[in-house]
Amino acid sequence: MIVRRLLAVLIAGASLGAAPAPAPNPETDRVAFQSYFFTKFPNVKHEEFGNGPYAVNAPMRKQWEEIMQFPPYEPALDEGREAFEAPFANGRHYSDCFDNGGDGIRQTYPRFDTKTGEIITLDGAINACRVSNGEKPLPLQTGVMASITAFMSESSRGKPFDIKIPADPRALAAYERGKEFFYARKGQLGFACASCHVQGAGERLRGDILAPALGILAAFPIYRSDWGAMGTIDRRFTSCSAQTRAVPLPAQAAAYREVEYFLSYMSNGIPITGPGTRP
Amino acid sequence: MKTASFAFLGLMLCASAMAATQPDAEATFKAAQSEEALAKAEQAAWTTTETTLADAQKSLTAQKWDEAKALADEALALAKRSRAQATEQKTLWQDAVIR
Ligand code: HEC
Repeated sequence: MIVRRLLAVLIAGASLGAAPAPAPNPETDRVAFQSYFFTKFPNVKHEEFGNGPYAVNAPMRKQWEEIMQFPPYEPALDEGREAFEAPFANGRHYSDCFDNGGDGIRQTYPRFDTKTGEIITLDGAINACRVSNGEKPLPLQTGVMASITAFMSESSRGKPFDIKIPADPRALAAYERGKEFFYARKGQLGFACASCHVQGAGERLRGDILAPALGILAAFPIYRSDWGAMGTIDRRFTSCSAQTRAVPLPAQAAAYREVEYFLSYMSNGIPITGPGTRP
Repeated sequence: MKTASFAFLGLMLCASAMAATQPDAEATFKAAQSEEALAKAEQAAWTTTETTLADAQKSLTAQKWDEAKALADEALALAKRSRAQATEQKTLWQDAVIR
């Protein structure tokens, strides 16, 4: 009896005390997200957020401007153009798979695919194009995949991120899962993506300046000196996971595609700068 | 009566301080492995659990049962903590959202 009364009180208390989780609203999230960074870095021009650490650190920016006289991603751009223009064995081309022949569309990825209910990234779309034309998918972390995305990104330079979340509950759910992935603490060190790229943005971590989460994907793919090579978004996510001592997910895992969707939506309005170069 | 139970307790303590046996070490290793498999399925696994498990495996192969048991215990504890973190974060992440 007493137990039942106690339970009733507890349940009543819980439903009174805990405010219901607010209905997901990506646009409200985006406005709050962007104004957080605009306030945190009042001297950074909004369109500069696509330059990652260089947007928020003056000495690094100087170094970068020197490097950019001979951008280390140039060979990848050449390789990417060649690969993109070469026909598949069946005579068709990458350009047959994409809106506008693949020209100037990078800022519209990732997209929600209404057929499968899945998030499709540019890298995923490139491999889907290959497979539908009878070719093997490309490895996802570096190499030709990075070169093709470099070539496609360059044709989108200056075009602001334009990510759509269609009125489909599955799209909103994917967005929410991406948001959760970004804010949830993971790994033995208990860091969330947000710990380093929101709270820590602009701070130094070992040799690096932590990029702000706003515009954080605009420069991809990137050439990193410490990789000595180009890397895709998957490569970056994998190494960030490992830094928290979490076992990285496979490239293009649903959670990685969804966090990419979330981060890209948060960056709507920030121009594409890719391909990029990093120390 | 009292003496007897003390003697029993003493015996138990000795047993646990004594060298781990092969079955002990193997059973703990199995338990750690399956806990880590669950953590992986939940995408909650830690790299440290993986390396500790691999070390435990090496000690098993080398028939160092004490060392293997200790490492397997540690891996099991890590795998459990990683799963607890994931469960806890299912709601806690919301406190971190920029609003
Ligand atoms: C322990 C800190 C830490 C955590 C946690 C972390 N990262 Fe990073 N991240 C870094 C460092 C260091 C770099 C390289 C320096 C930089 O560019 O910020 C980086 C770079 C990046 C970049 C490239 C930025 C650029 O301009 O080159 C992206 C994208 C990124 N991280 C995404 C993520 C995501 C998604 C997560 C969560 C899964 C995450 N990071 C978690 C430390 C972290």
